[in-house]
Amino acid sequence: MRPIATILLLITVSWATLLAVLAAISAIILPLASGVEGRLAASLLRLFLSLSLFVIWLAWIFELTRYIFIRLSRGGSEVER
Amino acid sequence: MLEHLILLTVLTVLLSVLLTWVLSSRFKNSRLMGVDIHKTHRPLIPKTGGLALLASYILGLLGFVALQGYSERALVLLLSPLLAALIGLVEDIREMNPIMKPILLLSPSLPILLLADYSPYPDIPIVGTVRLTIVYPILILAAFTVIINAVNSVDVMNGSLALSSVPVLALLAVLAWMEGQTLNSIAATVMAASLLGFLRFNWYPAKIFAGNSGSNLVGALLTALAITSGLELVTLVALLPHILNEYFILASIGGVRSGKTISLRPISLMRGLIAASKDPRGPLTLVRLATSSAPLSEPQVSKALGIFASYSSLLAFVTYLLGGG
Repeated sequence: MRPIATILLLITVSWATLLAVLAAISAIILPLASGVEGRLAASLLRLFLSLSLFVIWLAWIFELTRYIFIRLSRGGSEVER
Repeated sequence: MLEHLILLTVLTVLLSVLLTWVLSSRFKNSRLMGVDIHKTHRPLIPKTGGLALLASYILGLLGFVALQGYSERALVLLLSPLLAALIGLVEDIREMNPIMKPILLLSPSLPILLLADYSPYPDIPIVGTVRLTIVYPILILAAFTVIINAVNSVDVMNGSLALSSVPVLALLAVLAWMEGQTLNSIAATVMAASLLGFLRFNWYPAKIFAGNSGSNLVGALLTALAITSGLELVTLVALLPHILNEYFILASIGGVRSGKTISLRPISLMRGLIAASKDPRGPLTLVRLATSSAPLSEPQVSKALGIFASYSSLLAFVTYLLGGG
């Protein structure tokens, strides 16, 4: 049952960090873009920075999952031995 | 209203059981049969369950429309899942180009876009209301492809489609009801009822598969409900296990490819149990992660996927309480 509990923890971490990404968009990106002159330029900057943050978040979650998978697999192999 | 909902739910479960039984026992067309690869004797199983789900969902929703009257929303909730299911049926009959499939899966978004049944000012928890008049229609197009493929990616075990979708549909039914979106609530309930009836024959050892038509149907309905109810982020959180699973597969195989062209499998069958592949180059999936330290039986894996979806739906409810959709 250890992997099931670990995946539940991974889902919790993904959720909490997704909310943190939204907080960063609200507190940093939106005020930053509002200082840019021109509506279209501000919109594009907002979109670009928000998407970049999501891409970083996704890449981080994937690396975390891969690390968890390696740790769980090693744990399983040690039990088998 | 509540009496209609209870009556429709019961009738839809019964209709789904009847249709799934007929299709599983009477329909043996060789083009719509699939191998159950997680059994040692690899039996051939009809993959026509999606048709039973589609028929019971459409009849259930039409029953409500007959009682309460027609609306454009009803047309969206009928056409989007229908288009997605038909694309899935074509894919069940013949292999589809992996690039062509995401393009075709843009079409279920057309009823929403053409009838303009969306608000380009989504209310996002923590961020607040944002103005996305240009980007939102593009996001709708992308959402259908992403969510349909994500739901499809967890339909890998006997019973896993129903167990991983019903908690999300139940959450959307409750939240849509709370938001006064009665038709959306009914649509989510009717689909959940169809899946419960279907589960009777799809549970281990399965007598029928949902096929791509079934998973596309469920994925398209979830997307349509999220957009038309204004519950975009809440649905995204509820579908975190599905979306992460799809993303892990794409990231680990390096892009969009047909599953049949990937020689390395994430899992294998070991003495009748599901075991994670030891090859580090194999695709990373939730099932591989769940079986990484010890093999599990197929019903255990399906139940685990149901637990993940129930838990993420609970987190989605907390997200909803944090402020709007």
